This record gives sequence, C-alpha cells and structure tokens, in this order.
Amino acid sequence: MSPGVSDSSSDDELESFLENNVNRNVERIITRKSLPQQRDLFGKALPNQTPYYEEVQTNITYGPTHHELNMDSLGTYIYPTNYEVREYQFDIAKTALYENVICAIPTGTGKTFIASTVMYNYYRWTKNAKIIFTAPTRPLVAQQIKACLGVTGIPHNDTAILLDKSRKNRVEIWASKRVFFATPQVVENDLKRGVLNPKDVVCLVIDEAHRARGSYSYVEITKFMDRFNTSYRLLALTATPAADLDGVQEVVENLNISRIELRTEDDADVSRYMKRRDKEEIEVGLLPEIEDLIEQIGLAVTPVLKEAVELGIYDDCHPSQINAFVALQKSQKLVANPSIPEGIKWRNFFILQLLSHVGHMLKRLKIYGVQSFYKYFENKHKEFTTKYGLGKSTNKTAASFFYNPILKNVMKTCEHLLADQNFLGHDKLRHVREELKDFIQEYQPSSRVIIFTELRESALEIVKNIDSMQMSDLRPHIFIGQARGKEGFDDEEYKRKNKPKGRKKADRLQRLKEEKAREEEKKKEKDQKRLQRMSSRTGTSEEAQITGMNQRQQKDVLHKFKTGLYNVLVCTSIGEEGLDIGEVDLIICYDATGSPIKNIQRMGRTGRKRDGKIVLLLSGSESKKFAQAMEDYAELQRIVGRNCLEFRESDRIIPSNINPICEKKFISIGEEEDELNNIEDSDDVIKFATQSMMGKLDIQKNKKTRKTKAAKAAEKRFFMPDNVQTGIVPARSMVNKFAYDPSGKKLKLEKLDPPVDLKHQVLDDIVLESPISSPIKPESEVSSQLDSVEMSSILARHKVAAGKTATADTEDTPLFSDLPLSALKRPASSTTPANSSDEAIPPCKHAKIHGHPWNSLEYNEASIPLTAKSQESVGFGDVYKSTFRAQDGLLSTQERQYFEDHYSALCGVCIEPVPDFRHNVKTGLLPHSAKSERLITAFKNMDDNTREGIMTMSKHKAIANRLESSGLDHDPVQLSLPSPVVNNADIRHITSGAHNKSSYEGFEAPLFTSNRAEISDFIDSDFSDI
Amino acid sequence: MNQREKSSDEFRQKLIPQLKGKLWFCLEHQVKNELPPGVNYSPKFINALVELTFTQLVELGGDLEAFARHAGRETIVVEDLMLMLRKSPELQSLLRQKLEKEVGASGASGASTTARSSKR
Repeated sequence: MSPGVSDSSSDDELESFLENNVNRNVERIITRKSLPQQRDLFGKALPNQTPYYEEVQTNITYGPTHHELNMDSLGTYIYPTNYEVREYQFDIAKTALYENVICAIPTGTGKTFIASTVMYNYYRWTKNAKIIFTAPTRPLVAQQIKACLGVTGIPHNDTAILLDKSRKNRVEIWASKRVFFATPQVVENDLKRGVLNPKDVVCLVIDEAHRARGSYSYVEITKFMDRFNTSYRLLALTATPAADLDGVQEVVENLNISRIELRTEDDADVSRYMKRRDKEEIEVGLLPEIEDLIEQIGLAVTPVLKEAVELGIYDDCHPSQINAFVALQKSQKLVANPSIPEGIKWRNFFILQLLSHVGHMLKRLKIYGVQSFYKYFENKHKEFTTKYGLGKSTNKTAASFFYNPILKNVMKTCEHLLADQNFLGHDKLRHVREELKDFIQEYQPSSRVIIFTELRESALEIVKNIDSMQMSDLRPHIFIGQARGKEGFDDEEYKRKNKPKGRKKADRLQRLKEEKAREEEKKKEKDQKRLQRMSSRTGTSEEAQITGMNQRQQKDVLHKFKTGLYNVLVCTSIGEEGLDIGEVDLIICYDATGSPIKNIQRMGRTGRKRDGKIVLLLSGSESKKFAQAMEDYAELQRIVGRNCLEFRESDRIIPSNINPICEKKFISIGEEEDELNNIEDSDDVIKFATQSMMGKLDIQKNKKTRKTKAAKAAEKRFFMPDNVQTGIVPARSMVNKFAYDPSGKKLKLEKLDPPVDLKHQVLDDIVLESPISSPIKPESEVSSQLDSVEMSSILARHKVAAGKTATADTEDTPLFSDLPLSALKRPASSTTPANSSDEAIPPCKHAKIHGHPWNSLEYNEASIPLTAKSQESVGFGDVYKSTFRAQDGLLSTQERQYFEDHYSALCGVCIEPVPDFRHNVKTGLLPHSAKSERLITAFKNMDDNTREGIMTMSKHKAIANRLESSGLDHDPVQLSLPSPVVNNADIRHITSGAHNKSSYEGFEAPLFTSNRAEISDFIDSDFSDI
Repeated sequence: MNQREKSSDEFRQKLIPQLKGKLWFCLEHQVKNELPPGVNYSPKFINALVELTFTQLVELGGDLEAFARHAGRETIVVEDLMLMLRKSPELQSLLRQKLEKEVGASGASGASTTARSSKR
C-alpha cells in the first residue's frame, strides 16, 4: 500500500511541478470509499480487487495572467459595425472573449468575422502578447487576413504571415510582430524549435477545428502550450465539430474548450442571415444496359460467391449486392487471424479479394456508370489473365470468374456501348446535362457550378461529357489533388519482365538496347498522346487526371474559375473545404458520401454570397446512405446542444473585477489595409500582406541580418516553465535535509513530508489490506548520522542492561524486565512497546524497535516522563547503569537525550525486512481464547519439528503400540469400558468447607487428591485387564 | 501447598503422556477403520489429531467440572454434559438414546462420567 501511495504522490509532485508554474491551479479532491471485498476462508482478501472506489472532484482556478494588460482599454471591447451586426455573431464573439469556445456555425455565416473581433480585442487589451491565427490551407489564411486587416484594422506592420518553413528570418518575425497568420505546422515547428515563446501567446484561433484530433498539429500546439502557458484564449472555428459525440469530446479535450457555441441552419437567428439553399435530391434509376451488365457479372460471380458462403467467409446475399468494403474488411480480418492454417487462409483471402474486386465493379457500375466500370474491369481482367497466362498465378477461383464466357459478353457490350457517342455512361450524366442546361438559361454569366465526385476517372468522364454537349457557355475543368494517377496494368511490360532471360553477354546487351528503344518509343507515344490531348478542348483536364495537379496548377485553375475562364469545376474531395467563391450558384453532388462532414462541407460551397442550389444525384443505396449520414449529424447537433460534454474550465485572462463594456463602432481603416478589401484573389492577398509585412523589415534589417546571419545561426532555445531549477541536481540534495539548531533540536530544512498521522494511516491500511508491504519510509539521513560504532555500543549495553534487570531486580517490579524474556506474551496489557522477538534479539532489531515510527512514538510518550527520577548508576560508570527501576527506562539521561535528538516518530528506520505488525494492529492486541492459544502453541511446536517434539510424539506412539501389541485385536471403540456411570447415591456434593474456600486452587486440590488413586489405576491399566 | 503442587506436577508429567498415548491408540484405530482402503496416514497426522482431541477434551473436562461445581456437586452428571451440548441438539438426542440403552443395561438412574479430564 504505502509504496503505491508514495508512487502516486511523486507523480502528483511531478504534475504540480509543471502546473505550479502556469497560472492554472488544479485542485483535485479524491474521496476514497471502501468497497466490500471478497475474502477467502482465512479472511484474506482475494487478489485483483480494488478495495475502494474514488470520487474525483476537480476544481480548476486560475491565477492572474502573466500577460501585460492594457489597463486603459480594458474597460471596453470593440465590436466593429463595418458589416451589419448579426446577433449570433455578437453573442458568440462576446462569450469567446472570456472563454475557450468552439464556434460551430454553418458555412458561410461569418466565422472569420467573429475570429477577427476576438483577435482585435486581445490585440487592444494586451501590450505585447502575441495573437496567432492558424488555418490548414492558404485560402483560409488569406481570407482571415482580409477580414482582420480589412475589417478590424489591425495595423499591417504588426502582422506577419508564416505559411511555410521557407521564410528565413522567422526568429525576428516572431519577435517583432504581434499578430500572426500561419499554418498549424509552422506554429508547431517554431514552438518546438524554441523560436516562438509559448508564454507570449495570448490568443490562438484555430480554423477548421474538427481536425484537432489524433496528433494533428493543432493538438500538438495546444499540448505544448499548456505546459508553459494556460493563460491564453483559444477560439476554434468549424462548421462541423465532428461526426460523432466521441469526436466532439476529443476535440473539446484536446483544445481545452469550455463551451460550444453551436448554431444550425434551422436556428432562427442564423437562418435569417443565411442565403437560401435549395436542396434537391434526385433519385437516379439504373439504365437498362447497366442493369443488364450487373446481371451478367452477377451470373459470372455466382459460383465464387457460393463457394465463399459455403466456406463461411462471406454472408449470403444476392450477387448484385456484393459489397467491396465488407469483403475487404473480412479479408483483412482473415489475414490478421493467426489461428488459421496458411493454406486455407490464403485460399479464403483470394476468394474475398475477388469478391471485393467484383464489389468495386458493381459499385462503379451503379454509381459512376459504364466508363469507370469498364476501365477498372478491363484493368483487373488484363492483369489477371496475363499473370495467369504466364503461369505466375494459379488462382483457380479467380480464373473461373475471369475466364467465364459471360465476361466476354460483358466486355463486348461495354465496348459497344462506349463506342456509341450518344450513349451516356450513367443516367446521372443525363441529369447533369439537364441541370446545366437549366442553369445556363436561368443564371447570369458570372455564375459558377461545382460538381463533386469521389473518383478522378468519374470526374474526367463528367468533364468530357459536359464538353461533348458542345455548349460554349459551359467551360468545365477538373480540379484534383496532386497525387499522380494510378497507371493501369501494363501487360506488355509485365510479359517482357517475366520473359526468360538469356545468360549470355550478347543477350544482355541486346536486352538493354531493346529497353532503350522501347523507352524512347514510349516517350514518343506519350508525347504524341499529350499533343493529342492538348488539341482537344478538355486536354488539360485529361492531362491533369493522369498526372495530378500540383499546387501551382490548382491555383491556376481556381484563378481561372474565379475569373470565369472556366465556369464548371469538377472536384474530387480536395474542393470540399474552404473554397470561398461567392458566385457558386449550383452544386451537383455526383455521388453521396457516408460522412456528414463531407456532405455539409460540399453543400457549404454555395449560398455564400447569394442563394444557391444543391442537386444530389443518388442512385442505388446512396439515398439511404446520405439520409442516414445527415440524420446522424442532426442527432449529434441535438445532443451537443443538450450539454452532455465534459468541458474544461478556461482562464478568463481579464481580471474578474473588470467587465468590459461593448463599444460598437465603425472602424475606419487605413489606406493600405483598405486596399486589401479590394483584392479578391487569395494569393494576391497573401502577397500583399507579406509585402507590407516585410516592407519595413526588409529596408531596415536586410543588410544587418545578412551579415549576422552566418554568425548566429539562430541558436536553439529551450523554453522552461517558470521557477524551474536548471543544471544538474544530485539526488542527494532532493531527499530531506536536517540541520541542528543550538539546542540540539533537529530541523528539517525543506521538503517536509506532509504531517500525516503515520500511525493511523498505516493502521487503516493494514486493516484494509493484508500486511505484506511494509510502510517503510526511506529515511537515510537519520541512520547515517548515527555513528555506527556508537550505536552498536549503545545497543550492546542495552542488552546487557536488560538482561541484568531481569535477573537482578526482584523487589521493584521492573518495567522492562519482561522485555527480552517475554517471548510469547502479548503486549496487550503493558504500555511499553515490548516486542515479541525471542531472547536472541540481534542489535539491529533493537534499533528497529526504537526507531520504528509508531513504536518510538509510543516509546517517547511513555518514557520521557519517567526519566529524571532515579539517578543511581552502578555498573557502567556515569553514562550507563546496570540496574533499572520502574521509574526509569533503560536509558540514562544522556542516552535519552541522545535518543531524543536522533529519533523522531516520523522518521524511524525499519531495518527488519518484514516488520511485525501484530503488535501494532488493533486485532493484535486481543488475546486468543485459552483453548485456541493452546492449540496454536501445540501446532507451532509440531511445525517447529524440534527434537523434543519428535520425542514426545514417538513416546505417545510407543504407548499406543504397546496397547495394540498387548493382544488387543478388536476395536477399542467396541470395548466395554468399565462403566463410568455412578449411581445417584454416589454423587458427591461439595462439602461446606470446600465451598467456603471458593478459590479455584483450594477446590481443585482435594478433588485431585481424592481421585489420585483412581487415576493412577487408570493410567496403569492398559485395557488389557478389561 | 508448595509440596503438594510439586507432586501434582510430577504426577501430571507422568499422566499426560499416558493419556495421550491411549488417545493415540483409540484415534489410530478409528482412523484406520474410517479411511478407505489404500489411503495412508502419517504419524504426524495422528499426532496432530491427538493434540487437537486432547485439548478439546481438557477443555470439555474443565467446563463440565465448572458446571458441576456451579451446581454444588463434586460429581459430573448427565445434565452437565447436556448443558455443555446445549448448542448441538442432535448430538444431545443421540447421547440420550445411548444413555438410555446403557442405563437400561446397568440399571442405574443417574450417571456421571469420570473425571478423566479433570487435570490439566
């Protein structure tokens, strides 16, 4: 028990070490309540039970902030009225000033405005603390810069933009500026590098806060900051806190949030300002051709599916309902299971893999259309047939599927369908066309459309499809991430690589030559293809689909999209977050995702500056999936609104006696800042802001820094919490220290242990638990200060003295005389801390007794008042004496003085590894009943296996043997003993004389004597005479 | 007084091993009979049993003696034993049955067990 306690206390210490130095005080009240325990027959608690449960109550209070506050401006906070004042923005901004808030309001309702208001006020309130805005993408950062500089007029020369790690003089920037716009990665990096002092930060704004999970930079930043600084305001912005409640709680915990401000589109105060967004869900049926294809594939895969069902690795279902995801999951589980023999495992795995491929094919067919299906199918088919043809694969199940004659038919139909110009791969495409036609007629030319799909191939197909409408008003382009597209399976390449190789040099040379030629050929082909693509109108899209789009290309496309060169953007998931283009009037979701966040973000791309329309094209099970996702999300919002999250207390920062009054005011903006308002493009905003930021810096410091840069290559700094001792500290100095004041009293210098009543604490522990662990408090100083020689001599004398007392002293009942002799006597009656150990107590045991925490406690109490009375000393000169009386203890005054100086109740030493608890436990003080005591001693003697014991045993046995051998072969129980029954007349009554004595002894004696003859007879009889 | 105590002590020294030996004999017999064939026992086990039984008997004797003395008798009678066994009625009834048989056999009306355990 006690080691556990000390462990946890050292942990607490460590924690308090960290926490003392920030202004957060955490007071944790743990109430421990005992639980009933299951015990075995011997009364021992069974293992692995917690004997208590804990109620933890945490109170967090904050001390005054360490930031320098601008007392003049603290009286008010400014709410800019440059835009129309919206109530919800006003409310949220107000709470966000004093608490850490997650602001979860729908997209396009002005989160950035709230952020800039909060940032601006902290900028005013503090003198030189830093304010940081972080967002994961450049456009978001640019947006915020615009809002901050353009709306609130934070002077541009106090702001800095740090978007990547490439900027050289970041040390200076961090030191000289106050408001920062950065990506979280930069902030994290600079915090960890020691460039940015976490104590300087007073306000941290986090955009797209739903990412603050796992070990994303946001989490790392707050974790790092919390160690040094708890006095900073955190404002988290997001449209969608998380997909489930656990996620929200995680974000809340990671960011130390104390409140969620949640508004939905249905809330009255928000919907008033929301642009109207019409949502139209179109159920798209499957084309007969597609249904036909599905059926054919189903036929082909049926035998495989049947096998899988028979093997119990896939649930029975209609072949057209095979789910790729389920199959994939099952195959992963299968591989991870080590208990299945390898052969079976891999056969099953390949079946599931095939099912998963089929599932993908079906999904593509149902959701994206024939083209993307055929591409996938053809690729898989080619890959397998080549491998199988070369004998590299012997997968018979897959072969039975891919070589199925039905599939030839499938391929034929597909090729036929795709060759047909008028055939649209999916009915969705027809809907896209219709919507776009309507759109063109309805909207002005400045309008834009975004189409979302999950697959790149499908995106390209859509682009091509729109292009084939041959309408000049529709200028589509693809918008995808920078990863390279997957190249299809190249059967020629594969065949060549797996061809048997010649061993001769000539062969090799020839091969090399061939390879070169082939590469050139390929290059030429590629170039040709590229040229071909370029010549078509959708060339760049096609190109992009294959190579991916790098950041520059993405920017370029977005720019063109904004300027109107393209007006239809076909995006994969990259376009879902943070694109703020006001003129998007139509969103077409070509497919639906199961993630509510993705769906909401997609829909949030429209209705930003004017009303928008959303068209969802749903086919197959998609509508169910979509409805489910949105329903879940609405439920989540309801739950979050019901306040069932565990929030963290946050620092108010502003002294609690100051309540800033709101000052609504139109902020006039400086010329340069105003210029920003006119800049539309995010990159231009960044460029502009960067320039204005660097402007002075460049002029003033450029030369200087260039010269000095080499000299002091920004040395790494380590930030430490306040009051931390640095340098090397020897462990010796961390244990308790003692000093002696003139009167010889010992003083603890530092690190006083909490003055707990050790005795009781330990007693309680022992009652609760079994007395296995010893409550030893490591106490090195005391014992080491005792000169070992001195100590042993004292102890030796103790022994001698004690022995002498026991024998010599007869008249005065010696107080300590029974100490060494009372081997088995319990200390129940005696007040002295007599110990139970036998006569041969080694000296160290003595030390233990006296030094033992509670023993010495008693000892001190008991012995001190007895000291001064008798001073006679006989044997050992002045210091030691040989006879002791009741009034004096074993010690002379000098000895006692020495003892008192060196021992204290709280810091005793226990040298014995297993202390004897019985004397210190409540139950140990109760004697057993006489019978049990006798039994215990009897069995103890037996256990001891002493010679005497054995001898008595054999004696008894011998007597028994004699009885047996004396010719008694019948059962002794059957023996008719001489009837012990006496006649009534013979019942003797106690004579009056004996009665009068009434003492036990007096009574027993006559009885005894009178019976003696009888008994001796009995003893001598050996049943033989019966 | 001292003299007498001494002699009684000596007497006890002789008496106890004898008693224990007899107890051993009885117990061993009983154990032998009760145990299923093929099961062995160690002398230590018997020894332990002897110690247990002996202690129990001494205790019993002391109690019976005290009961008898309380009733103003020097002889222990059946009532004392029944008082002793007041908490185990089944044993009581069993003993009563046995007693009746015995009384029927010997024709005595009152009974008392001899004070075999009267010394400790």
